[in-house]
Amino acid sequence: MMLGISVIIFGIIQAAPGGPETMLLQSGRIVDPEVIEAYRVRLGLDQPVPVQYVRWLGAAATGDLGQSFARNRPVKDVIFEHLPASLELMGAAFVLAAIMALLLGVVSAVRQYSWIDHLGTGFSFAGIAMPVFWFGLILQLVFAVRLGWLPVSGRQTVGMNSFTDHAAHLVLPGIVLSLRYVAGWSRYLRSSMLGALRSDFVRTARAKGLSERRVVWVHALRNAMIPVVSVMALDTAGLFSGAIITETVFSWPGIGRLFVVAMTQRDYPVLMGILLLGSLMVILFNLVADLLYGWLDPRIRYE
Amino acid sequence: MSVSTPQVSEAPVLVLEDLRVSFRTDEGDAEAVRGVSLSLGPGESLAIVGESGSGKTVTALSLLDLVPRPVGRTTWEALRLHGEPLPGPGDRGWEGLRGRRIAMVFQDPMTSLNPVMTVGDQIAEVLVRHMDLSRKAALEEARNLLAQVRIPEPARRLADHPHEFSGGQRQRIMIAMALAGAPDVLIADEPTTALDVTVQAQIVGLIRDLQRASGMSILWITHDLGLVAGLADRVAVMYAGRVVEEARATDLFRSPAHPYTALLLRSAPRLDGALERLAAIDGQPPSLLSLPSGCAFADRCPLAEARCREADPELREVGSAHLAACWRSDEVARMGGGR
Repeated sequence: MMLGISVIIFGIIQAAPGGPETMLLQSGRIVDPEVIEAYRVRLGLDQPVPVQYVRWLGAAATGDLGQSFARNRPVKDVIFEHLPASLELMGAAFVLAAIMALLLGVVSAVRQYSWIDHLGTGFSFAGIAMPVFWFGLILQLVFAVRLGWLPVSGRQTVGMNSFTDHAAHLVLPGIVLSLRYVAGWSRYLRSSMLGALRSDFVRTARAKGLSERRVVWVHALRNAMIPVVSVMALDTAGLFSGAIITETVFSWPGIGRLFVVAMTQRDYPVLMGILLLGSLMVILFNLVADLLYGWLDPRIRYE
Repeated sequence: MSVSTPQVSEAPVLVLEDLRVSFRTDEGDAEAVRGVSLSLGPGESLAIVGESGSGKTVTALSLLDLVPRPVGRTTWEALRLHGEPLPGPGDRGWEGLRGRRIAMVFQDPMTSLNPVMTVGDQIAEVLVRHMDLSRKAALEEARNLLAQVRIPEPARRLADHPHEFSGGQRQRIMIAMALAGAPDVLIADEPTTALDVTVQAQIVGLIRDLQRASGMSILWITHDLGLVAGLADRVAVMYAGRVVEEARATDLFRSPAHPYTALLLRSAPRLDGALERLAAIDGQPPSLLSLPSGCAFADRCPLAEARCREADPELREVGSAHLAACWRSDEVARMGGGR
């Protein structure tokens, strides 16, 4: 699986026009072709593509993702440096999205066709349709610039290292990144809950005299969560790529922004490292989805 | 079979007067139940018999106020348990009664149990809810209940999920859950329809044994006349949302006083008779959306005459503890056709 992905990643990067050397050319100075050639030799770019691939793959398998062209440091170090900020943002967005989607999904289903259900439907359409960068800019404009309640961007105020300062910086990007997941997951949960609430075992639970709260939040929800949880697990890998735009808008010093910067610098080893990490996450969360599925649904057992 | 005389003299356990249920549909209101009255004596078995759509299951669900709102609209004149009025439709106070004073066993044991909860937890939550037991004590009691409904190795099976049991066993678990609250009235809504014939007899036998031991009253909901003959003291036959005949089981089978009952008896296979072609009742039940002004059965009735289409006959006494809603009930016995 990973092998196939690595070929694709490498292929796409190779197919892109230009290379690290074009950065030298763009600097405006007249560069001696010999200098460029020396540069290419030093980076190993003079070798045939298959050779480059095998070299890269061999190193990647042992955890060595090579050297960053632009930074002259191991790719691994560069990525790990930016990873905590990204995980923090993804974690915050995930928790926020999960809680909001749970509440919105369950309430919309229990009060089907009520004003709150219609509001939820409208919100979901807006959440899925709205461009992330635009929503981010609006929030920045309203809450940071106009109202001044929250910082515009970054991860912390220079010279401050308090928890509240940190959390305040997390609020806006967290909301922006979670938006489309709240929208999607609450819709899934709503339809799944509607099915569960109409099922025979929910009628049985009511006939047993259980409180409506227990009927909804235990009997119906536990069944309704089964399909939703696997969607959530798969989407969590997607948070990784969703973070690219959000991090750029909010100058969040995470992987997403590193990716954009590396792209403009044509820092291929870094790009490939991030893509590889991203696909690793997708595979990992696929596994997590399967495991959760088996844990939630006792009818499925892995031998 | 033991068909005891109904204890008419004793105060009834459950009394229902003039139940009406209608469902909103795109084509208008469907009147599913149109003025049903029932009473159930202590330890008595009353069977409601009728075809699909006759309103028998809706009647049963109404007794627990489980008809879905706002699609269904329920009203009744009176509903009393041991002489005390129960909450009105949609009122507060039902949760404490359901599963405690009135319990229900449903038709399909495959879908009526929660697939992701252990059967132990599903039985125990009734005990925690109604009997004020701790979860630990409730699980202990759940084990006893599983033993009572004859599930082998009950202690081990508490931790199993519904899919690990056979259909018959699942229905036994449903029964254990219904018994957990020690109810006064058990409603059994076609509890054997989804099961194999041999298992059906076991389940019926089990419910009868449990009734004898606890003295609870049972309301059987069924379309199976053969089943009724063996287990009910009294029978109420429903057609198009009404009770059209009500009598002691023996009387009903011996001398039906409504043409629909008579035809229904003829359409059931007999074990003692020779192999005959089963009689079918011609025609379709009327649409509940636009019921005729006269008797709902008139269009299918061999005895129908002009007045049947003009006025709907009320349920009236035609014999000792025998009610029928037919203008010509005296002539049903001489009704021709069929065998």
